[in-house]
Amino acid sequence: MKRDLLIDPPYLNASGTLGFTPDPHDPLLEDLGAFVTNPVSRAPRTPAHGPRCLAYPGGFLLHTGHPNPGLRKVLQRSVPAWRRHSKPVLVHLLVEHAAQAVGMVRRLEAIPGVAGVELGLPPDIRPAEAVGIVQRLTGELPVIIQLPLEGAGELARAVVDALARPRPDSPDWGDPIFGDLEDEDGDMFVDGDDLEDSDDEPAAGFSPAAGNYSVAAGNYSVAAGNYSVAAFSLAPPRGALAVSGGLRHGRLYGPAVFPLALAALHALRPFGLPVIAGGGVYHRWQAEAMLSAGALAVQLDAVLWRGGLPLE
Amino acid sequence: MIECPPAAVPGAGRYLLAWSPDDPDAPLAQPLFLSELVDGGFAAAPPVPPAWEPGTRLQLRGPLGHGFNPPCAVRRLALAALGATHRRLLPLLHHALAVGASVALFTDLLIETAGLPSALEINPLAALPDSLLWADFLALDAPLERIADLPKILGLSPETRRLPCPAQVLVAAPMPCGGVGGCGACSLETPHGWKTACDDGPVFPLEALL
Repeated sequence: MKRDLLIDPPYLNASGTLGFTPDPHDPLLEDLGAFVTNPVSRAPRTPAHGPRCLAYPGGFLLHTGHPNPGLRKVLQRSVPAWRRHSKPVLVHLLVEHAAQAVGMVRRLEAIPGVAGVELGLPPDIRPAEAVGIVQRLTGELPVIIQLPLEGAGELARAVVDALARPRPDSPDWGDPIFGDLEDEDGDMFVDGDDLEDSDDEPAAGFSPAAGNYSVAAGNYSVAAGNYSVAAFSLAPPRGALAVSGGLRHGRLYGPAVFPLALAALHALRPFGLPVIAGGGVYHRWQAEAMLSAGALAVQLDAVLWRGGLPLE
Repeated sequence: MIECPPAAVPGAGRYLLAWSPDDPDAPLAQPLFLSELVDGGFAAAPPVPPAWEPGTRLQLRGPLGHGFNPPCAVRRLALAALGATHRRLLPLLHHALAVGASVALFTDLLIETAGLPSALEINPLAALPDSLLWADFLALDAPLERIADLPKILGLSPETRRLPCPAQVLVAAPMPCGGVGGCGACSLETPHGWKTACDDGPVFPLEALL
């Protein structure tokens, strides 16, 4: 049976802001209706080389490589804390192709304490590949698809169109999640630069097919239909700054992002799938503007590193 | 000068994260390190946001991180500033001079000596390796990107990876999340795996980095 995802109050942290486990002593968590983990990849990832945080007027650029110890170790270390947390815990997964996404989501289905998944699509993913992923997500866990901000509309259209069609009769990709990519110690380290600057071609071979899809939306909860996809969220926009030796590409944060995020929310609402908005929110009025525009909930990012939303 | 209760003053090498509620659009909090104790608070080492003027209200989180922990009976203290400021090392200077120790600063920075004790000896960085036989303890302040250069700066050969005296390094790095987010921006690779300056540091034993 599909599980509901309740986010009450309608605020949650953005992935990458509060670590892998909620700190029970952190007063900020009291104001959040759910906790989102840092990005977790199948294999461990090392930090990116070179400058990782570059400030500019109105914001800053992060190029960290999404360092993490890999899904296996994150689960080993974090599940007890997830189970103890009083609010839903959403695990943010970094994926590069459909089989990886399906395998990792399936792995989490069996983990107590996991209320849902936020699936971070690569910034250069093609609509057909995104469709191939979402059509294979048919488990019980609600899945939030985090869209790259650039091209979010095109991706959202492709996903929603696919979800409106009957589910394809696709081959079972099994669950070789910890299969032959591991070294003898059970992990394969991935250089963090690979993803931040990725021009890799994702695996090919997807074909959109028919599926059934329905959403029952309350004020803050969504019940998934035949597919697991429950909502969209938005990744930080990407940009570049000049450093010695060339350009540094990365994710952009700061108040200057808010207009982009609000525009993206407006662009996604007509597709009918709930949207968790966020990006550049530093004031309560900004969060309320997103909620008034129809956002299911609002993700807070760097403002949490300076004490959360100010009382205004 | 940052006016704050005594409990909020960070020890040498530790830091506070500070932001102004009067400037809610500042994207990030600012790490503040102790430079000098003053009545009612402390003088912070640069950089301090230019938007902060006298009277600016601040909210502070911390003290955070691990600071310098020199041995008790240091009689000859060597300080080395490899980055943009020497001021994060000054708390060690003042304490050492107060107990009658000798202190030498090694740096290629152009130091404004007004306000510094006359007993402080200032030398170029190139003189540091030869002075390590003199020192009881070495405290370094190095930007993250220069950590890999430490063996060369200290005159260590591949065969001799240990200094004749204990040493600690303050790794100066952007720390946007201040230890709460695991964002990875301040990560540094050590022989014992990846560490973060914001939480595992900013001060590390030198041998933990080489």
